[in-house]
Amino acid sequence: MKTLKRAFNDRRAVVGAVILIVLALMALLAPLLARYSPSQLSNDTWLRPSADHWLGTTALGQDVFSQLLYGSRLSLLVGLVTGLIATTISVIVGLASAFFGGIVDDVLSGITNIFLVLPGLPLVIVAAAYLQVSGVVPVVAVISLTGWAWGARVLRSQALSLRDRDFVQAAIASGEGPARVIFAEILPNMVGLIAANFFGAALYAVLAEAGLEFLGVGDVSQVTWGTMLYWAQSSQALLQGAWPWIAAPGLCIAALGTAFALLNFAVDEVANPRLRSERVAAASKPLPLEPAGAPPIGDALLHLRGLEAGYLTERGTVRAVKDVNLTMERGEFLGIAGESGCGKSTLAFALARLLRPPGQVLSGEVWLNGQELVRMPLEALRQTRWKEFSMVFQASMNALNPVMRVSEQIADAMQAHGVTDKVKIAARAKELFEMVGIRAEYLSAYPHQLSGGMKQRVVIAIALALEPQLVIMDEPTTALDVVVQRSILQEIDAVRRRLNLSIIFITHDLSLLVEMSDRVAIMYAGEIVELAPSRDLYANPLHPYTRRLMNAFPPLEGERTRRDGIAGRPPDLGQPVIGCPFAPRCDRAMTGLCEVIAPVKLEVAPDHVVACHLYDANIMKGRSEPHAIAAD
Amino acid sequence: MQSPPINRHTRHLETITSSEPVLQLEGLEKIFRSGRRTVKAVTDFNLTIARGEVVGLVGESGSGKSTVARLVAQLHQPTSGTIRLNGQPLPARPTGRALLEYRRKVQMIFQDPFSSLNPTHTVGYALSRPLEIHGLARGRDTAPAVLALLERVGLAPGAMWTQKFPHELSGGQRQRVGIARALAVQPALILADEPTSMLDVSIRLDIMNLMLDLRDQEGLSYLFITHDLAGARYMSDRVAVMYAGHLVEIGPSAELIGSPAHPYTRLLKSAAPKPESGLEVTRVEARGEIPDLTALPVGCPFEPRCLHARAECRVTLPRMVEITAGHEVRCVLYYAELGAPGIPLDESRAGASRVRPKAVA
Repeated sequence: MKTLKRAFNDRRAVVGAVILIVLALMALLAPLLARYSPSQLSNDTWLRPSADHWLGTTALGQDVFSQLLYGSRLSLLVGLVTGLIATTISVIVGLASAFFGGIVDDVLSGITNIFLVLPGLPLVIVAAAYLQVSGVVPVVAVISLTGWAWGARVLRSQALSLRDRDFVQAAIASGEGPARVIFAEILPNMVGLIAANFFGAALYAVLAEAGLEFLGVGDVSQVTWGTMLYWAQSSQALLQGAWPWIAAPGLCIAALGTAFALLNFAVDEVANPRLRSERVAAASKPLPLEPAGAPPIGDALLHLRGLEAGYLTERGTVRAVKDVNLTMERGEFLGIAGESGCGKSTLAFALARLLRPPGQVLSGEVWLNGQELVRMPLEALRQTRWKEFSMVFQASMNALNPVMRVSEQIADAMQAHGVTDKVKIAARAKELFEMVGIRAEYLSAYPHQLSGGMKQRVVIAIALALEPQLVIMDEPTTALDVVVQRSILQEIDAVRRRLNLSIIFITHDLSLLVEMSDRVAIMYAGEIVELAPSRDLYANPLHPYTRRLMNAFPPLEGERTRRDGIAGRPPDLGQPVIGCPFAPRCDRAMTGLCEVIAPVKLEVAPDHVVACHLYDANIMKGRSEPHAIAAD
Repeated sequence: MQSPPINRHTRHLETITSSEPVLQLEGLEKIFRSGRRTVKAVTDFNLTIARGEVVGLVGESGSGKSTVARLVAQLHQPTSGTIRLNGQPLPARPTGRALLEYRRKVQMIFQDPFSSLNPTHTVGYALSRPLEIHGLARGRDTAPAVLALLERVGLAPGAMWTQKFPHELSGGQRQRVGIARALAVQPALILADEPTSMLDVSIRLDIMNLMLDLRDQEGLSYLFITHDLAGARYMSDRVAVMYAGHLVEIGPSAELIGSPAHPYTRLLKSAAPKPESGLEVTRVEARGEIPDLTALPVGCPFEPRCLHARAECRVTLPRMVEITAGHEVRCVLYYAELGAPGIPLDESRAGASRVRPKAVA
């Protein structure tokens, strides 16, 4: 029921289904709708469309409309039967090949490959000429036999990838037998492909039938859309002005193709529950930005001033980064930590100007070296990026061009910014490789020859190529093994000390950050809720969220005691958050206060900023709670 | 009013496990063949898991730890070796009744909760299938059994969840469903393949605690696979370390991680984040990466990276030697006949190499 309902909501599916139903009704109700027998001859030849003959008559005086109705029967039947046969063979061969593997797969794949190169149409022509059976049977037989191979190949590779998916392994591990694994686990995930396959084969059959009949190969005494076209053409219908004779069957074939294509689009969505979730459509226009204020005073490298960023959706604005104010010194290593969805990646993308619609900076300023980035024209930004700041992301290593040697990719980045001296570039590439800990002989390697760790090192080398002053790293080592991760982090740290680079390092792994960073910012629900030198943050975490987050990492030493995670989930940033965003999950929340009034950011110790009422002396004065929880 | 401290249920994780073995792996070996390449994923692997025991299996990617789980789960067939469940050896290629019986006792939790549930089936379907396959609930009894399962893994009220599709759940909720599916058949052993590594930090402990609670309540045993030493220490009674398909060290978890013996275990420990070590960052000297499993060295697989390697390491694979009760290591440095020199203590913190204070520019 639900599935039907969803299908009704999809306009494409509805239009496609309506066309198909109309065509099917024409075929089914032909005896009722047609006022003449399709082959009945009369003296009323070449009649124009009229109330008696809606589409006129043929050269032999047959009613075109009646022919169209009866013709649809055989044409659609050819499509249906061929589609079913070809798809059934595809599914059986594809699934058997994928599921059983080994010799079964070898044999079936061999057969599939042979059928794949068999030319369908010429075979049909030969078959039609030689087979004793007349009419559409040879068409159905040959198109079915030649049409399944492509589908079998596609379904096999899809089934192969599904077979290795964890849910199939889980079903096998729980004791499901092969039949159930194939039909209840794998097959439902292939419905879209199978439907596409059916539509493709059916349409091909209808077209092939029409084409062959049009050529006169086949039994032209039968009434199909194809034979209508044949007779119309051979009687020179257009010269006689009887255009509906040609146009009507032609349009019907086109309509069938359109219906299949439309249904094809919809099937995937109906079959796959994952695609059903409502799409977050982007609002059309980005919001305008207020002009920037005066440049900041002082020598700091980076100033974030009231930075707000988010996503404009049809349901409203998701505010993923809220009022972030931050100053970074040259050579500083700043860590940003938080749960997923806390806005840390959005912050990184926002300050690198990499947010794509529907994401955008909503307000605030990013000053890097005296230049404001948020409002910078694109050309200037292109120049600034890589030279002044660069980025490394978790997925960066997958973005290396697979067909280019890594040395060329480093050279590319440098040439794009005006370094043209080949000798200089080569020397620099070597130097960069040494810096990130890869032997120089790997310069001429292609990405696939490198391990994940080495690829990520190459990406870091490219990010360092133009000696930027700031490198933004978003989970750059998360996908890597611990030893590799550690050694890359060491290289990063050594490079930054040598070049006096500033690094913004974003990860969910707070224990790693505390060890690596000079300062750590803890983000929650888009805000920085605590910012402190990492030594202070580790020794004396203040915000209850920081404490819980810290507690979430079991230690390598000391007593093995039970610890708890953080109950509940972060708030929905698409809704306005009232009071402290952490209050609903906080075990120190004060009723009547925290859920109502948002805490302000307080500098409670030198360089140690926290947004929590517990540290607000003015608020805590009249309360019995101890106003600092630092000591417990 | 003083709020309760963060660890409200502070209690020790140590438990007394029985000595009755649930699972015994003897000389387990797996060679994958594809075309002319042969990959030696697991070599001569021996392990015993007692009733109610959690054994952590630690290693990097390519160490063979997931393959061990999949061999035990009978998703792959071992090339050689014996799997004993409750003392009974499993036939080489079990089928039919024998295999189904085995599967009822040995269940698996997968790493990626986003791919371990079929997107086209509801939660209710996913949980009712194991019950039906093993004849534990039929017809009208299935629905209440599914609700009870959901509530046992903390998804209450169960009725709220049965009609949901996986894409409607968060990662943590999906993993709970994954655990419920494994629990459905009341197994004796659960193989947990990195069950928390894809989850957000804030919910990892919840999932680990859930698993520990279920162990306490039902006397379950776990093979807990992870790359995270701290997580292994938190969860496990004993920890086993794998490298390039070989078991290289095994021992009680606090002892093994507190004073690791094998050079590789030391390297792993030195590479793990240690915020509690203050800010004196130790430098890890990691030579090379995991060897190519298609061409393993003849001797110790760690020899090419080992800073303590001797000539004999290149010639023969070291045997496992016991250094203290239950703590075994595969390394010649602990051979009694060689005087068991071990690795000097001052290097234990930094792992496989010299300690060097953080360079200051």
